[in-house]
Amino acid sequence: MKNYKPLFFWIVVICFFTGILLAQQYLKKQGSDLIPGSGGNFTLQSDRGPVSLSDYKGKIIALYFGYMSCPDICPASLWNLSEAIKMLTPEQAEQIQGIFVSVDPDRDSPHALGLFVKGFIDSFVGLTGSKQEIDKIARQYSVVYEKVPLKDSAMGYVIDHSSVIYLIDREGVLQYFVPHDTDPESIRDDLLKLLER
Amino acid sequence: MKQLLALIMILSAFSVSADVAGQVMIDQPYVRAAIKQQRNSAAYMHITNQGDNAYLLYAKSPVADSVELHTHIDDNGVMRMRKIEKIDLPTQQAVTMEPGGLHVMLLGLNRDLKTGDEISLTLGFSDGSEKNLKVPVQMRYRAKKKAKQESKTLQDKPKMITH
Repeated sequence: MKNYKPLFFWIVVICFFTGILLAQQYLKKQGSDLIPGSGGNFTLQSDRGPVSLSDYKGKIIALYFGYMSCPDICPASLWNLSEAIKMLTPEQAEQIQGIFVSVDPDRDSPHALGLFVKGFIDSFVGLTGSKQEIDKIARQYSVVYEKVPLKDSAMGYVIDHSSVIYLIDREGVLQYFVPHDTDPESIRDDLLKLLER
Repeated sequence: MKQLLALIMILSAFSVSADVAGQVMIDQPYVRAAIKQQRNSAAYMHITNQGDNAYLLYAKSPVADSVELHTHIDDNGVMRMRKIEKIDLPTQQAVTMEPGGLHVMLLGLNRDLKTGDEISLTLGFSDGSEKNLKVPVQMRYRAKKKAKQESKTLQDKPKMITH
C-alpha cells in the first residue's frame, strides 16, 4: 500500500501557489486596463449636503478620484485641470464642473474636502461617502484603489489608486479618460471638444 | 605615542575634508502649497553631488510633525507611494525630486502653506552633516516631459473588460 499523503500535500501546495499567481495576474490586469465601466450617476456627500452627478446635467463634468493626504499626484491632477479651465473663456469655464471624489472617507471629511478643492477653482466640489458607496462608484468608473499600510511611516496608510480625469458630457455620458500628468493644454483641447458638441 | 599621532592625523584629515552638505548643490527647491486640512505636502528639488557617493538620509522641518523620504511607483497607471530609507546621491550626478517621483514628504502640517511663504527645511546626509534650506511655497507642478498622451474615448477602446 503506497502512501499518497505526501503527494496529496504537494498537490495542495501547488494549487495554493498557482492560485496566488493567478490572482496576482488578475489584479495586475485590473491595474493596466483602466478601461472604465460605463460611468453613470451617483450621489455622495459634499460640505453642503448630498450632491448627485445628475445635478449638473447640461454642464460638462471633470471627475477625479483621489485622497487629500496624497502629496502630489492628486493635487497635480486637479491643478492641471484647473489650469486647463482657466485657459477657457469665462463663459466656457462656467460650463465646466470639477468634482473630486475622496476614496479615503476615514480621513477626508466633506468639510475639509470643500476647503481643499476650492483652493483650485472656487466652483469645484469635493465629495465622499461610505466605503460601500465609494466601492460601487469605483466599479462604475473602473477606479482601482487599495488601502495599503505603510510600515514605519507617520502616514499610517496610503491609498494606491488609478489616476484619471473622467470627462462627462452634458448628458451625463462618460466621454474621455484623461491620463494623469496630462498637460493643461491637452486637457483644455478635450474640454473644448465637449463644449462644441 | 605613535598611535596617538596617527589618530590626530586621521582626525585632522577628516576635519579638512568637506562634508556632504558642503558638496551638494540644491537647485530650484519648492514646496507645494497646501492647507492644514490636507495634513501633508511635499518638497521637491534637484540635488547635485559634487563630492563622493553619498545618501540623503532624512529631512526635518518645523512646519510638519514628521518628514519622510518617499517615492512613487507608477504601476500601469496605479500610483503607489512608498516610504524609502534613503536617496542615493551618486558622485557628480544630479538627482531630481519631482511630483510623481522622489519627494520629501511633509506629514502632519501644523499650518497652511501659502504661495509666497518660505519654509525651513533641513536635509541630513550619510556623513551626519546637515544643510539648512529656505524653500519657497509654490502652487505649481512641473509636468514631466513625456510624449503627449492622448485621452481615450469609449469608441477608441477595442472592447470593454468585465471582471
